[in-house]
Amino acid sequence: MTALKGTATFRRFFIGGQPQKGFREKALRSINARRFMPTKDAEGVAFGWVPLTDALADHLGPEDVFVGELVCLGFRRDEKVLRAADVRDELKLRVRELQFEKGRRLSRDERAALKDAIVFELRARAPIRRKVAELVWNPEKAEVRLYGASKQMAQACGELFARTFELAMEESEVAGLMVRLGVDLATLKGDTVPLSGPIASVTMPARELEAAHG
Amino acid sequence: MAEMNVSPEYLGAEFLTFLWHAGESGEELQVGEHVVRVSVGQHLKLRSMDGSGSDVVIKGEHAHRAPELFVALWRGAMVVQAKVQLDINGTVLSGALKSDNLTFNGVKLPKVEEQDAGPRVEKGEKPGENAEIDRQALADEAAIIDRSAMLELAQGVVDAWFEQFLKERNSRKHQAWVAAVRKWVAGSIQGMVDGKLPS
Repeated sequence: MTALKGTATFRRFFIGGQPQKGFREKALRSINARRFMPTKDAEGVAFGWVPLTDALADHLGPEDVFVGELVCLGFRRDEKVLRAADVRDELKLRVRELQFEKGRRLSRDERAALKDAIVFELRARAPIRRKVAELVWNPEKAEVRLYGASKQMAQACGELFARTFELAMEESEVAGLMVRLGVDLATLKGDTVPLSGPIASVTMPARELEAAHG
Repeated sequence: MAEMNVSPEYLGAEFLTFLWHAGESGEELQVGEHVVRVSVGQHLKLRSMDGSGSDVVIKGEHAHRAPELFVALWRGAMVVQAKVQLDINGTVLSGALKSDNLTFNGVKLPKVEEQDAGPRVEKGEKPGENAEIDRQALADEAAIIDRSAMLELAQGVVDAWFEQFLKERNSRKHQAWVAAVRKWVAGSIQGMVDGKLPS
């Protein structure tokens, strides 16, 4: 499941270029400038780089990041989980109390302001959902393997990667692979026989086939 | 036969179908100093490229011989997902390929053997004090390097095979392959009618 053990399940990305010589020192500064910082009360989401093998560390040294020719990073994303049902219940309760105190119904604006205050308050003590994806970058091959990342997380990681290293990170697909292999799709269009289509030598009705195999 | 425009997704599916056939016919590829053999099976998903019909998915040890797959091929479907085993100079790696990205994924890798490297001892530190941490760090580094090397080797082979496939696509060799696949499918279906399973 991870870069270190188990079945290797990952997303493959192509990197839009190779880093310049002597990039390590600069990269390390840039990584530490974007290291993970815990979420503040008012924020719902926080993300940043952590050492691949220690998601709780607050600093990344060269020994954490550079493994042989590879660049290894953890991408940590913390999200405060706020249940809509909790907000709804709390709002209902407070509205009831305030209406009783004031002796009148609350206006729409008052309700909206109250809801914002409740969200702020509940978020401050909401549990945190932590996710860590593992990134292994081979600069020579200009490829990244990202382990344990959903599509949303991969997107956030790609954006942070681009800001950190000033290199684009694009998820692999056949079209991109063909560009890397130096094959032009236009040269393959319409000039070959497609594989699909009926086979002349077999003229067998479907029901005959079904009968043959029950 | 009508010609059609090919999309990257179409080419990916055609390549996976090619791999399946290459495995069945025992074809080999020379990639640099590596001799590669492929075996496709256990899990195959076929889809009609014009979007008609539903997907055909077969799982199991003899999935690659399922009659349903040959009927789907006969109707113009191609492989969009497959479990693949690559034998690279005797090192066997199993994983899965999808036609939309051709990333060799879900790879089962052999366990990395622990290296007999002594712990690093820092100045002013008693030997053995941080030995456990150092040993773990070394093991992690070795695991990352070894696993990455194996994954890159396998992916490099897939990419090289795909490149060769694309470069030969306009050649007579490709036309011969198309003819061979048609013969293979027709023979398999004929065998089914005669009461034999595809071999």
